[in-house]
Amino acid sequence: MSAPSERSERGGGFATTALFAFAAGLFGLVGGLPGFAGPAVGIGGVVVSSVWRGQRATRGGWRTAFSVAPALLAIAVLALTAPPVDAAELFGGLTGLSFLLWLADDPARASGGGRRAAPTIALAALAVGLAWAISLSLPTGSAEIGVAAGLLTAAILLLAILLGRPQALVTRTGPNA
Amino acid sequence: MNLDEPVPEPTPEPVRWTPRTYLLLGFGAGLAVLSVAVRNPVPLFAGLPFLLAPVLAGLRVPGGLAEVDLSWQSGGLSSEVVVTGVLRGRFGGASRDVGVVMPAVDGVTELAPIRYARGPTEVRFTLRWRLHEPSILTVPAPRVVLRDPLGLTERTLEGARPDLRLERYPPGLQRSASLRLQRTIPAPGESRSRTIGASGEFFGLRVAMPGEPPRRINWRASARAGRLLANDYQLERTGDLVVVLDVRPSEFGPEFDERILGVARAAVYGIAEAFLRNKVRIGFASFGEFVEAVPLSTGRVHRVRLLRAILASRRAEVAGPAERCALGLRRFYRPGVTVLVVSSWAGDPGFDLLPYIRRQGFPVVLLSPSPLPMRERTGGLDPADEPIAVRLERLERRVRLADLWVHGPVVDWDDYWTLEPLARVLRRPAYRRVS
Repeated sequence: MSAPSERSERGGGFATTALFAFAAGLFGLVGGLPGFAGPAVGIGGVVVSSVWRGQRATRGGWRTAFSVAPALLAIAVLALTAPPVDAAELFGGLTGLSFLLWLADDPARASGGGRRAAPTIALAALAVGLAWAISLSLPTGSAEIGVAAGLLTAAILLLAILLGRPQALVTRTGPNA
Repeated sequence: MNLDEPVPEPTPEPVRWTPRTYLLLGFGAGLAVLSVAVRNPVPLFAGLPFLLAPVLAGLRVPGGLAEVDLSWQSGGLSSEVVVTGVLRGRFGGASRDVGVVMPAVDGVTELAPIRYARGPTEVRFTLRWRLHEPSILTVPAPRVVLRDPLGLTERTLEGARPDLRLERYPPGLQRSASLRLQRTIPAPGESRSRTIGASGEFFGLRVAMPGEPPRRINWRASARAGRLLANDYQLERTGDLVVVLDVRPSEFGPEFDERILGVARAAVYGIAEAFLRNKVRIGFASFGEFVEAVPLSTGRVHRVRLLRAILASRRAEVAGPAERCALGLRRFYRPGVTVLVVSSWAGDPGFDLLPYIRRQGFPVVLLSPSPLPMRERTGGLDPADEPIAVRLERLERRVRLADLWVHGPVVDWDDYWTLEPLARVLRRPAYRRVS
């Protein structure tokens, strides 16, 4: 049995933070805010969240969970002000995905979280990519997109309610499965 | 019971969403709804990962059986506490996804985030805390969880998790091994020999110190034990001590009383520990509405008995009259034994225990934990006025306590991390003399 390493295992998370800031900055650039306000909002949200996350206490609860709030607020502002163009849709989805990668690379947890969360994020990326490709290739008006978005939201919410007990998803059982 | 029947396997603990999941789901759903409202697909695209991630994360939580045992202990000096723990067992997943969720502990500030060192079969963690005041705390066992890499779903792992006893008291008395109390009563069965020498009656054996005179070495006992043992005589023994903890309610309210009682409990335990190490007989009594007492004794079993009694002493709802305390002590202890009263009282004279205990024939010392350090910066005063207010309050308290000196020594204890003022009082010649 090998003894555990005594070194600090906290990862830096700089790469994923930079990626998230880059994606949020691009989303801000193609968004509807004037001048450089868009990138400033995006990058500012990422920086505030990263600093909050770095300084937070170790206990669970609201302090841990809500360190993501500034980044989410920035994404919401950028998404609501963005014009309905293909580039904004793409960078909106990419910003959401880079947020998940940033979330997985939590400095308070074991390093390499981003790498371990890659399969989960890849599936989400696949869904976003499919949705964007469909919206790009199919000529539709904004009303149809709205109806599709509503139906999609209803389906996902229904799925979330049905899976309110997430153990229903767990299929592997047995010792150390 | 049919032995051939397979034993049903226990089911693993259910997987639960973390608070962060609800935040992300709510955010994603909000963006989707806004997307419909403003007829713009961009918020929907931005919110799609947030809606999908919790469901996908739930699919990735390992569902294997897990049983993780915890062994942990505390270290550090003075107010600094370092808690180290080891988790061993079946994690039911990768050890890097195992985390510890500490419950909130009152009176403690975290100095640094939790640090982990992980191996394939065990996870070590370290917590660094600062205690606000000396205290004896029971830290509840943490929750051990297995989380997905995104931290959106978690499963609590079962296992043996003992609570942690955190004992921090002022270390001053520990270093004061030379403290001697006045011996005012004979020990049980003690009868003075008429042929005693200059050192008095034989008391017991102890490990010889470096530079011990050869006449003090008990050569026969040393030969039996295989190490040098020296004789200990009655004259070198210190007297007995009864510690009385005042748990009556004060004018400051229950919350404040509990806090200062926590400090007093830690002090009582520290004092008892220090004297028990010298084989001194210690008694303990708490006085709220009535007296609850532990008789005089010494030894390891008595140490546990004292600790239980000290921890069980809680703030009383009703204050008993001071005479009752003195009469109660008279029932449990012989007059003449030194009594150390730990009480933060400094107000109504009728509330004061000292004169009544003194009248029952007990030499008495008062250790009074001052409430002033806890009340600093709570009055909403200007920072410039605060030192003046503190100084005035301290002077007022000193004046009140000065009236009690006619009954016995009084220690105004306002620096909770040292008991040196009490040690100074106990080192005085009056408390070293053997009757």
